[in-house]
Amino acid sequence: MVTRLARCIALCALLAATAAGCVRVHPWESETLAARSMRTDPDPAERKLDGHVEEYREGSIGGSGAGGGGCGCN
Amino acid sequence: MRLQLIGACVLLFAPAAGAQSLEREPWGGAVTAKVAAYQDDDDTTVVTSLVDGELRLSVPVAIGVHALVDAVSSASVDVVSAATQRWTEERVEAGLRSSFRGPAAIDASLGVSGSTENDWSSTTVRGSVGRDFAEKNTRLDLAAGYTANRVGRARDPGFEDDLGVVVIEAGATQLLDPRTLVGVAATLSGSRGFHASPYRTVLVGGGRFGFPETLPDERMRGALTVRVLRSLARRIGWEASYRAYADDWGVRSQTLASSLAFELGRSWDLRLRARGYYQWAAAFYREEYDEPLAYMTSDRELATFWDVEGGLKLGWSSGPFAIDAKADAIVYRFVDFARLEGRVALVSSLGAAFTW
Repeated sequence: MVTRLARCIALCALLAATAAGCVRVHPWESETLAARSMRTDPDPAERKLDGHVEEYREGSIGGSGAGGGGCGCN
Repeated sequence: MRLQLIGACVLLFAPAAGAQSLEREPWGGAVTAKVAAYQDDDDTTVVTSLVDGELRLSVPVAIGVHALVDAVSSASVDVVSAATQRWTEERVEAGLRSSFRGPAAIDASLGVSGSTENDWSSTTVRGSVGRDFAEKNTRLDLAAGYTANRVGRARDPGFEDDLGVVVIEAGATQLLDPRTLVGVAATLSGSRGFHASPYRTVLVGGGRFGFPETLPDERMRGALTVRVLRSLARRIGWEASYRAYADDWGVRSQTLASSLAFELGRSWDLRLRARGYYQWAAAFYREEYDEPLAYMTSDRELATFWDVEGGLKLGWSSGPFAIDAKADAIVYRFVDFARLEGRVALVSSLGAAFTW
């Protein structure tokens, strides 16, 4: 299981590195990414409360940290 | 009592939250309050109240505190089959965190939180580092945490055991174009100690005997999530994510989620969200056992089941003020748990925030 996960991580890292080398979005092009409609991810407080429901009543955890920065909007 | 395990997962959003705090002006901050209610037709109600505050200092350091209270009341089929009465209990949690921007524009955060209830206490320490690259086109985050749990049993002062949980998380996000962001996150978690419920009984020999639930002392868990966020039109954003999960108890799951966000004028926002989850049971799960085995559980959260969820969130903001209301419906179906074929739950919340 861990080996398969490690392969997936390596593949995703390779894809991300490839994508990073192909494109560069400049700060003046990131207006759309900073729009309110792009904040689909729950805020931290909402995510904490959602976690109560999902993690307690399902047998799985993790993988919810895919959010974060990198939007180029600040 | 298993709610404490969630404490170990809170660190998963620590990197993003810490980075956002540091983007505020000096002495800028926010106070957030939320109340959420979970109610299902299996006679369980959970009301959670959360208050969170954070302040960015004059130097690039932000501090935050939170307090949370869970009020749980249940007479579910699990409780009835254990021949006990409806129970109610409260859990109180408090936490302190700090984030700072160090040399080479590296964001770091440290946090500690503790919680207590009548049969469980827990302390979590967590830390994270993250950094933007390539004009903020790329971001990498790494987080780790440890939770020490003290497990007890109500009305049995002689029962006491430990459970330790380590969580390591790595995340990366990448801009693909001015309208598209992709992300990937991986979580590895290891736990050692008493995993079972001290209250749950397993039926053996056609229901003639009841044995205490027994689970392995160790558990390794891994999850991988990929996510796409794209602007579909000027005021419409779309997000989709897929998560794969597996652990060494044999539990596997897949999760698909998608949401649409609409800007409705200058102040109003609407978000529609749908989520689907399918889980395969732990290798040793049985609803009943023919004979005693080394590991036995009839915990339906370790069974094969699926759930689907849908709901909406409406938000309003003006200047420093913001309020939101959310309602979700969740349908659960248990494939190999005859005592409860399924349940329907409603989750609602109200939130308010003041930012300066």
